[in-house]
Amino acid sequence: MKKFSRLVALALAAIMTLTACGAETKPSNKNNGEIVDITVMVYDRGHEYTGGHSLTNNKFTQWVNEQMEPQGVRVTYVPVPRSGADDKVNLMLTGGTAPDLIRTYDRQRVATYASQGGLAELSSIVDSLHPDYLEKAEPYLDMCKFDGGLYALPNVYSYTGKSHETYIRQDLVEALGMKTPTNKEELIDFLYAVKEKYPDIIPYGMGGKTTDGKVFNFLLAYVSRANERDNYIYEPTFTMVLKPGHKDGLKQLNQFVLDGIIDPNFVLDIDDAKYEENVANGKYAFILNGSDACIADAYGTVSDPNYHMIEIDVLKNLDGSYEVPSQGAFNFYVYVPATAEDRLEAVGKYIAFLSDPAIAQQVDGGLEGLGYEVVDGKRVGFDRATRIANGTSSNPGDNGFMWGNYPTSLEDLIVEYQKSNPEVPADVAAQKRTVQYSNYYHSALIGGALKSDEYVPNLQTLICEFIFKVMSAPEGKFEEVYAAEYQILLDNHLQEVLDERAEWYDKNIAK
Amino acid sequence: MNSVYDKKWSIFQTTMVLVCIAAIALTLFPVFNIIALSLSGKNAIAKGLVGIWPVDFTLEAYERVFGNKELVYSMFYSLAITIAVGVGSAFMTILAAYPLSKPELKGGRFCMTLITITMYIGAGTVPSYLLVKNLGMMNTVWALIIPSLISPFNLIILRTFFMGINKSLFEAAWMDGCGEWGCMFKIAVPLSRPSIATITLFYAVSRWNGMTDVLYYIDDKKLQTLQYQLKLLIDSFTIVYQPGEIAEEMSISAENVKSATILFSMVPILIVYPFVQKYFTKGVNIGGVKE
Amino acid sequence: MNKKNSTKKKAAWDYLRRYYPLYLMLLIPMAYIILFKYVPMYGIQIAFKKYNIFKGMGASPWVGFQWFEEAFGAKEFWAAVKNTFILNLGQQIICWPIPIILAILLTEISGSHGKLKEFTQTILYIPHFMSTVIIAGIMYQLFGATGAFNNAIAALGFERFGFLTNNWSWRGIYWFAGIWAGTGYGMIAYLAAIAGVNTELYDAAYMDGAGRWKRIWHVTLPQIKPTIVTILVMDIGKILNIGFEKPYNMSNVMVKEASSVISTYVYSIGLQAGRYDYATAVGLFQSVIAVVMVVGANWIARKLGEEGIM
Repeated sequence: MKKFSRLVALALAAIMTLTACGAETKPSNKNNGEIVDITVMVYDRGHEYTGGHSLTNNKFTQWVNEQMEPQGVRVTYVPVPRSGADDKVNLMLTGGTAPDLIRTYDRQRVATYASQGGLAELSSIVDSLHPDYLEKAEPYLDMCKFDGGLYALPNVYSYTGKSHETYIRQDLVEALGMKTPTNKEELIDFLYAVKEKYPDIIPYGMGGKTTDGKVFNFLLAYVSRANERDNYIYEPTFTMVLKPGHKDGLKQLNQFVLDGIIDPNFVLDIDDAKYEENVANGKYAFILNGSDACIADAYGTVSDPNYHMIEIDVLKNLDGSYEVPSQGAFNFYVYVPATAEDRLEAVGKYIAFLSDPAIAQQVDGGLEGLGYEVVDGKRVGFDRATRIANGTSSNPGDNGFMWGNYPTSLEDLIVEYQKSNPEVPADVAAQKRTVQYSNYYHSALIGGALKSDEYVPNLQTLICEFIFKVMSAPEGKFEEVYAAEYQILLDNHLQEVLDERAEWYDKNIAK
Repeated sequence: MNSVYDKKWSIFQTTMVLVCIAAIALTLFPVFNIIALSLSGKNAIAKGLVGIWPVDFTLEAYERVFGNKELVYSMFYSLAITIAVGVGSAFMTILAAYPLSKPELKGGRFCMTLITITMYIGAGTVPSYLLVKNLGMMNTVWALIIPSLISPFNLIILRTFFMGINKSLFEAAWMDGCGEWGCMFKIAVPLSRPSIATITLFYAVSRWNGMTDVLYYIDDKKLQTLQYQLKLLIDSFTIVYQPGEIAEEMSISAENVKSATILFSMVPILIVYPFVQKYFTKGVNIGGVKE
Repeated sequence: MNKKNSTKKKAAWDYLRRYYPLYLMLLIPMAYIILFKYVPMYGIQIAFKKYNIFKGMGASPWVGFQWFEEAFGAKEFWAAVKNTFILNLGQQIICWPIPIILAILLTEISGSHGKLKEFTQTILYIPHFMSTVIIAGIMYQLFGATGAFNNAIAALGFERFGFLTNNWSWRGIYWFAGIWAGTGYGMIAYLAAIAGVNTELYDAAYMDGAGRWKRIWHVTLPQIKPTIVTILVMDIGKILNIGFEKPYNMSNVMVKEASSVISTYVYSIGLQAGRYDYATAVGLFQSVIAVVMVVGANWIARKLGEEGIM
């Protein structure tokens, strides 16, 4: 028995030395003088390729290598499943097998990796990037700085619109003999009028999914942007809805729930299934949401022939403008692990290549003639089946590491929307795009990494829950619920986050 | 079995039949709903019109799944590794459970404690990943078979069963000149068919439905299991991960393909189940030493 | 002294000659367990370190009990421990006997209904394959404000009740979902055990004039007791282990006070912020509790004359 345990211990020790060294091994990299091999992450979305092509070897990847070869770079793509991508990359980084160029939406990961010394410093690359890209990326470069070094690059949108939009049943507005609401007071009158006259219709569309901002812009209609310091304190991330004044908005939303303007059981619709069903049936008179299913899909499903949902500007800031937050030109982070430091120059060449808008246009569309064609000067994308049959990337946007989309005009956007949503009346589509891409502002950004950033992901969820619970407060219990729920936010470091931002503002902007 | 003694129709029988029917109804309603969803049109699903019968009947979801050559290939591949894991794991478990079921084995209790503890103390993802990597199993089929060969739970179940076998049977076999290997294969294994069938099923089910190890260890499409590929496929058009990413436009609803794939994941195991069940209903005669 | 030693040696030699095949059998499975389960456990050290994935586990700096102090000092952590305990204990008390009872009763259904019995077993097994998202969806449809259950209550003239927004009724629904999804699968081990019962024992009991219930009580139950005890002991160890998916998917904001459990706590405080060391520390806490519980349960089982699991 004793002997046995000793044997076990011995075997254990032997195997441990065998395995434990894994974390420190670096993949050997030989620079064979001419061509440098680099690896680039690509999302695997489970699409099936045909004709001998694959996600990592198709006409697009071949084209990239034709372009890069004269510069002495050979690109190999490493598939990473879209779902669980960050976890998988984390394991690859641990095992030293991660690709040389990686993307993520998760700021906290980049911050952690950078602070642990696992990322390559990218300042040396910046000068080689295309000036158009740099112009767009400039405001976000500070966000990519951690401990004074540039450890990531932003992927940027070349054009942006509103992050959340408001839609209204124009046919109901007219049937009620009202005029289209132009501010929140008129909107509230409309919602109550609908409730009175149309018992089958739920005035305000709301679901229970805690990740969605179906009340976002509504709450913002109760706050002001006049105080720059407050903008910097609250606007980064979802804390935006906690600006001074938000309580009045919440009170109104709570009243909506009590009065049945919002479905009182909305919190139980945990996956938004009921909400989506109501959208598809045209059951809502007013919708505030980041997606546009109430136009894009509902015109095809709603049986009411009068259904006329349109996008409008209705919620004004306290300052009196219709401006609402934009989706922001910042899309995601691109970074290079330290294991690729010795081929940073080659990786830089690939990044510089992608930063060229002309190249980005080809990449984003999956190559002209294969993924899209140009008709009358307008770009028309092929559908996925055609792209795959043509042997190009099945989801070409995934390869655009520097640009989130290609430069275009409002007119192009309208045409594109009408083409891909044939059931939507042309004028509704045109109005939708026009409203979507006007009257927005970019939220204030903190250009740097704060210590309290690590609390933010959890706070975002908690803020959603806070809003939902306060909205669902029973009659006469608003103040009580509000105080209790706000305390939960404070318990989870809300004040630290806000204070650190204020401090940052005072130090960097105020003077 | 006990039930052979009461042939008469009784209140007990009636109650049990009613209980069975109620339990079946409670389970089958959602299953019918899933089947109906898999056969219904996009609009009908979106508007919430589908109950237990399909609305706007369509087979598109099934065409999508079966029309995909890679998926059909990976179905056979997954079946193969499921069988390999089922058989391999059952063998390994028998190999461990038999000696550990002998109270006279010195050190057996210590081994049992070692094994049991692993049910409650996990090593974590990262070291397991490094182990698989350092053993050179990354991106090979072995990464999906070897790390899950023995489950302590199944081992304990089988050991308990082995311990219930009448000792005199082993003694008789020992007298007849059977060694320990003979006792194991000629006495213990045949008498434990229900239990071995059970653990084989448990192993097979967890392999068939397991996905995280595929995510972590396998990049090669040809080596990914069916369940995993189906998950990628569903994710590709149901989850809009970020505002910038656009879900695939489809004529069929996501719900529709999702339902089809849920059925797809259940069917093979449900086909196997009755064969396993055979052992439960017939029973095994762990009889005495009949001459 | 010398003689004693040699007899001892001889006894050991005899023992080995008699039993070496058993050790031979054990060799491969034990080597396997050591390699695949114990070797990776060196990873547990990060519970006491500030883990840097690039330096590796060995080179990351030690922080002592910092993560444990942080967890034990957080009131959310204790709330999560309490909720995990309540949900699991309830699950254990309510869900543990049901598969046993059902397995016994099903085998009692006489031959003429054999097909029904087999069919029922197969059907009850199906929910095991459904993801928790689907199970949660079914529960919300059944118990929602306009769900089947509330409709029935309203039809009987009573007031509708927010079953899903009340902490205790939500817990009840959580347990019910456990029964619905787990009974068929949980039954299998017992069915196998019942199938293994020596039929002669029933014959003897029948001869003695024992009726159905007596036979169940005096033959079936004692015969499958080892299986029942084994599974019970294993489950008791899992009293603080809880999966992420089920509580997460079944929860809604109104019952967060009842539904935030250790796994969801680890997710929101640890993993979401990339703090693997913190998550590992909480995991280690759970493991220690589990081992204490299972060793204790095993000890009690053995005191009561059962084999136990180790």
